[in-house]
Amino acid sequence: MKLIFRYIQKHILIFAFSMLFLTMEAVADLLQPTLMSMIVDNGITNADISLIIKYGIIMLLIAFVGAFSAIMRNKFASTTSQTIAKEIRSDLYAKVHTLSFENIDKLHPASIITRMTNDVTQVQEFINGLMRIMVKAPITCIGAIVLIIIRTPKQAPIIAIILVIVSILILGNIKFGYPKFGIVQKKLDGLNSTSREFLSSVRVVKAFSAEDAEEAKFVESSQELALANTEALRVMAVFAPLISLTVNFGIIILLWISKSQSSEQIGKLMASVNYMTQVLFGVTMISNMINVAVRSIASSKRINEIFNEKPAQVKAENAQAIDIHGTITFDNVSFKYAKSSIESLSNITFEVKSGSTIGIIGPTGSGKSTLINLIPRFYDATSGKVLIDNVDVNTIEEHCLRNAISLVPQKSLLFSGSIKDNLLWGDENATDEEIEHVAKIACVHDFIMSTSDGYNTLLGQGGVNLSGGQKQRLSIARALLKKPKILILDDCTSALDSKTEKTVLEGIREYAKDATVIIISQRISTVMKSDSILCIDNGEIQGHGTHNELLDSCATYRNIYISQIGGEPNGK
Amino acid sequence: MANNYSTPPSNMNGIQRPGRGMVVVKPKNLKGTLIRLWKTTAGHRKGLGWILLLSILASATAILSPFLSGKAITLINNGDPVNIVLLSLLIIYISEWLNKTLQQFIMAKTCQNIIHHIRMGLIQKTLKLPLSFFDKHQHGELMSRLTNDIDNISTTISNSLSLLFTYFFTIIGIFIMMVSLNPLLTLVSIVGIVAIFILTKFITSRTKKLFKERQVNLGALNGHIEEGISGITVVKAFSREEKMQQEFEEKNDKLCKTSIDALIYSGYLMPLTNVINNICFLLIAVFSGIMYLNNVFEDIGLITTFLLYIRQFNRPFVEIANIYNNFQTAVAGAERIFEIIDQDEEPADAKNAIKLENAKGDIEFKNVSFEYKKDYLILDDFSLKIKAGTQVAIVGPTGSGKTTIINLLTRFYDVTSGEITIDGHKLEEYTMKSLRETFGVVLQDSSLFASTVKDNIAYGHDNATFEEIVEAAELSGADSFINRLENKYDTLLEQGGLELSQGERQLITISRAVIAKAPIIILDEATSSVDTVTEQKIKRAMVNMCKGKTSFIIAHRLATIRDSDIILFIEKGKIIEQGSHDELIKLNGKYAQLYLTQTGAI
Repeated sequence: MKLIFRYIQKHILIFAFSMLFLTMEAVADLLQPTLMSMIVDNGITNADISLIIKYGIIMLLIAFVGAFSAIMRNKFASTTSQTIAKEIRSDLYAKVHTLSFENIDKLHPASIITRMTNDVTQVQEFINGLMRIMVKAPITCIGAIVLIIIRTPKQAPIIAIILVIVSILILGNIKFGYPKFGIVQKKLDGLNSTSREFLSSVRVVKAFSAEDAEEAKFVESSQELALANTEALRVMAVFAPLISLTVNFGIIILLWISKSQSSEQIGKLMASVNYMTQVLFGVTMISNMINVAVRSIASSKRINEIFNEKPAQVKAENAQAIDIHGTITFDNVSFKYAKSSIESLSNITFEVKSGSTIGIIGPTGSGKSTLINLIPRFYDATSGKVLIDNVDVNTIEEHCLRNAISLVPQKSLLFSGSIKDNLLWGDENATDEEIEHVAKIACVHDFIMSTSDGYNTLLGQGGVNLSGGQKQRLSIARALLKKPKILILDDCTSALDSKTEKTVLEGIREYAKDATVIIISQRISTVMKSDSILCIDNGEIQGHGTHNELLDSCATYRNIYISQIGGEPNGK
Repeated sequence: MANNYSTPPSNMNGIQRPGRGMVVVKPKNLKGTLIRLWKTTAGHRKGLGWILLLSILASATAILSPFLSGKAITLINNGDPVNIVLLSLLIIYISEWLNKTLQQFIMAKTCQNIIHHIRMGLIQKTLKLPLSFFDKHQHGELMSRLTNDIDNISTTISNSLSLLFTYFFTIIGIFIMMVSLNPLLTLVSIVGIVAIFILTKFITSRTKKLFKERQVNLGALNGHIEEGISGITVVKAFSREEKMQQEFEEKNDKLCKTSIDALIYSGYLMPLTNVINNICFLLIAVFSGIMYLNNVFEDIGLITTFLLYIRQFNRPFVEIANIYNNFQTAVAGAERIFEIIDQDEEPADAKNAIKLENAKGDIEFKNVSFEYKKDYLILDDFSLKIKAGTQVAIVGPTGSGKTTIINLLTRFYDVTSGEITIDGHKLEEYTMKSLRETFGVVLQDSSLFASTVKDNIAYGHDNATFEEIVEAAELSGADSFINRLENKYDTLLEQGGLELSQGERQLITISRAVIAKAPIIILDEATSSVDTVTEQKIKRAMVNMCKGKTSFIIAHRLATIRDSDIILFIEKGKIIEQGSHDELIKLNGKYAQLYLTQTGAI
C-alpha cells in the first residue's frame, strides 16, 4: 500500500483534481432524487407545472455537471493510473538492472516477469478503481444516508440497523469467501502443473503407454478444482442475495413507517427509497473494491520486494577505468552461492597471461561456470581476489570491465529482431563487412545466407525458430564482434558436430590473436590444444598444465581422457 | 427495486473477465458451436432446467416489485391501508432472495460439473493425440486451452446465460407492464433507449480500434520484459542495460498513451448514458406530472412505478451489449477447444490386431521413407535388417534422421511409404499398447514427474513390487545415490527431479526402462548432456540392460558406442556407412573422420 501512495504522491495534484470531480459527480448523483422529490412534493401536489419545469431544468443542469465531472474524472483517473503503472514498470526495470545475479537468482527471473506484468496491472486496476469508484462509493453511501436522515430523521435508527447488518454480511463474505478462493487458486495451480508435466513428458507417457495413469491424475486435479470452485461460489450464493434482501427489507420498513405520512411528504418517501438503492449500490461497490484492494496489496508487496532488494554487489567508490590487456589472476579465490552451505569454489589460484588460451575441463557441477562468472563480476568472490592486469576486478569500473570481456554463455540467448540486430549487440557501429567476417568465423554465414532475408531475417522471441547449433554459432559471432580482450566460451559448442567445432575454434584463435581466450568444455578434444588446461572437480583445481603434463600428473584428467577417447593415453 | 444492483458482483469470483471495451474475439460459427457445446453437456444438465425456471421467476419478481412499491406509495399518499401491499412486497423480496440463493447454489454445482466434464473430454482427447500434434503446438497454447478457455466458458457462459435469460424476461415483462400502465410514457422511455443505443454504437466503434491497439502494445511490452529479464545474463555481459531501458521506455510510453486514449474515449459512454437517462427521467416526470394534474390518471404511485421501471428497463439494454461481447469471446474459446477435439487421434488398432508379446527382436526396415512436411524428406528409401540380439548404434550429424528412425519404430509417427516389421509382422498389425510396451526407451531429456523416486521408476508399471523397483535401480546403478537420499525410494521429487543432477535423473529413467523388462531397448542420446564420469556409470548400466536384447543407441560421443555390433552412419536420411567400429575405421570414411576429430588426432 505504501508503494501505491508513494506513486500517487507524485501525481497528487491530478489526483486531487480527480477527487474533486469525483465528489462533484457523486453530489450530482445524490441531488437527483432530492430534486425529484421536490418535483413531486412541490410541483405535482401543488399542480404547478412551471415549478416542475424549473426543478426539471435544475435537475438537468445538475445532470450535465455530473456528466462533465465524470468525464473529467475519467480523464484524470485514466491518465494517472496508466502513468503510475508506467512509472512503476519503468522503475522496476531500472531496478532489476542494478541488481546482481545473486539477487536475480534469489527472486527468480520468472517471478520478476510476473511481478512486472501481472502485479503491476493489478496495482493499476486498483488505482484506477480507487479514483473512480472507491472514493465515490463511500461518498454516495454516506451522502445518501445523511440525506435520508436530514430529510426524514425518523428513519435514522432503521438505516443504522440496516447498515450494521450489511457490514456484517460483507465482512462475513470476506471471512468465509476469501479462504475458499485461496483454495481455488491452489487447485488451479495444481491442475496447471499436472498439465505442464504431461506436456513436457508426452514422449515418456506414450513410450510407457501410461495414458491411463495420466488421466487418473487429471481426473483428480480437475475434480478437486471443480469442488473448490463450487464451494467458493456457494459462499457467494449465500451472502450476495442476503445483502440485497437486507436493503430491500429497509425499503419495506421505510414504507411501513411512512404509512401515516401526510401526502405532501410523498416525494420525500420516494427519494428515501431511491437513496436506499444508492446505498445498496455503494455497498456492493465497496465489497467489490475490498476484493480488488486485497489482491493489489498482495501485488504491491510483491513489487516492493524487488524495490527493497539490496544489490548484492557494492559499487567501488573510486572505481577506475583501466586499459585492459587481459592477464587474469585468481588469487586464492573461494566462492559460495548465497543459498548454498558448501563452497562451489575453494582456494583457486592460477594465472592466464594475456593473449594465451586456457581450457577448463571437469564434470558438470564441478564449478567451471562459477569460476568464469567471477571474471566479469557477475558474482563476487567470497574470499580471495580476482585480478585483471593486476587490478582487483572489484575496483574496475563496471562498463570498462564488461566491455573488455566477451562471454558466450552455455545457453545461447538471442533476442527478437533481425539476425543483424542481434549481432550488433557486440558492436553498435560494426560495418556489414565486419559482421559478415565474424559470421564466417562462427561458421554461420552460410546458414544466414540460406534464410529468406539473409542478415535481415527476423528471429522470434529468444530465437525460437533456430536450432541449438545455429543459436550457439550466432552467439559466438555476436561475442566476436565485440573484439574482446578476454573471450570466454562457456561450453558453447556442445551442439556443434566435432568438425564444425574444430573449424570455429581455429577461426577464433586466428581472429582473436591478442585476446585471452578461456574455453570451457566437457569434451577433452575441445580443450586439449590450449596453451594450458585447468582441470577442476568439486570446486578445486585438480591440475593445471598442458595436455601432456596433465596426462602424466593429473588422475582426474587421465580418467576423463580414457573415458572419452579410450585406449592408453600414450598409445596414439 | 433493489434488483437493479443485486446481480452478483462480477469480480467476486476472483477471475477477471473481459470488461467493457475489451477486445472481442468473434466466434467463427456462433450457432454451430453453441449447439455443439449443448450436446457436449449431455448427461450433466441436471439443474439447468431449474436455473431456467428460476431466472423466469427472478424476472417476475423484478417486474412485480416496482409495481408494488409504486402501489404502496399511492396507497400511502391516499391514506389508504397499505399493509397488504407491503406484505406482498415482503413476500416478493423474500422469494427473490430465496430464488437467487437457490439459483446461484444450483448453478455453482451444475456449471462446475459441466466444466469438469468438458475439461476431461479435452484431456482424454489430448492423451490420444499423436506426437506430431505436440511437436507442432506450443505448450503454452495448449495450457491456455485447458485453463483459460475452459474457465472462460465456465464463468462467462454460466453467468451471462442466466443474466441474459433474466434480462430477456425482464425487458419483455416491464415493457408489457409499462404499455399497460401508460403507452405515452412508454414511448418516452423507448426514445431514451434508442438514443443510448446509438451513442453506444458510436463510441464503441471508435474504442474498439483503440483497445485492439492497446492489446498489441501490451503484447510488445510484455514480450520485451520477458526477453530482457530471462536474458539478463547477456544484457549485462554486453553492457546493454541502458539500451534495453531505452527500448523499454519507448514501448512503455506507447502502451501508456494508447491505454489513456482508449480509457478516456470509452469513459464518455457512462456519463453520457447517464445524461440521457436523466433526460428521460425528467421528461417522464414532467409528462406524468402534467398528466396527473390533468387527471389523465389518478394514481400518483404510477409515477414512482414508472420511474423505477425506466431504470430497470434501460439498464439491461446497456448490459446486454456487454454480456453479448463476453459471451462471444467465451464461445470463441469453446471453438478453440473443439478444434483440438476435432484433431485426428493416433490410429486405432486394426480389427484383428495381434498382441506383441515376448518379441524376439528381429527388425526390418523395408524401403522406408518419411516426411514431416510435404516434400521434406527426412528418411529416404531407408532399408535395414537387424537380427534379434544385435546392438545397433546410430551416428550422424544433427538433423540427419537418427531420432526419426526411433520415432517410426515406436509408431510415434507412421511411415510415409515402405514398411517396418518386428518378428515378421508389420507394426500396424500389432496393438499400439503391446507394441509400445515392447520398447524400453531412455530419452535425452530425462522427464521425471513430481512424485516419489519409487513411483518414477515404476512409471507405467503400477503393479511393480518394491523388490522389482530396487532390483531395477541396482541394475542401472541408481541405487547408490537413491540410498543416500533422505527418504530413499520414498523421497518426493517436488520439482520434478530438478533437485537431482542430470546424471542422477538419467539413471532413474534408465531404471524405468529396466523395470519395463522390454525386449527391445532404445537409448536416444541418453548420455549427451552428462559429464564423462556419470557417462561411465550410465554406460555400465546400458551394458547390463542391453545384454542379449536388440538395442538401438543414438549418441554424439563415439566413445559410448564403440563396442556396438553394428554402427550406422546416417546422413540426409540415408545410411552412408555401416559396420563395426574397426571395420569403419578401416574404411577410413566419414565415421573414421568423425572419430579422429573427436579424439583430437587431427
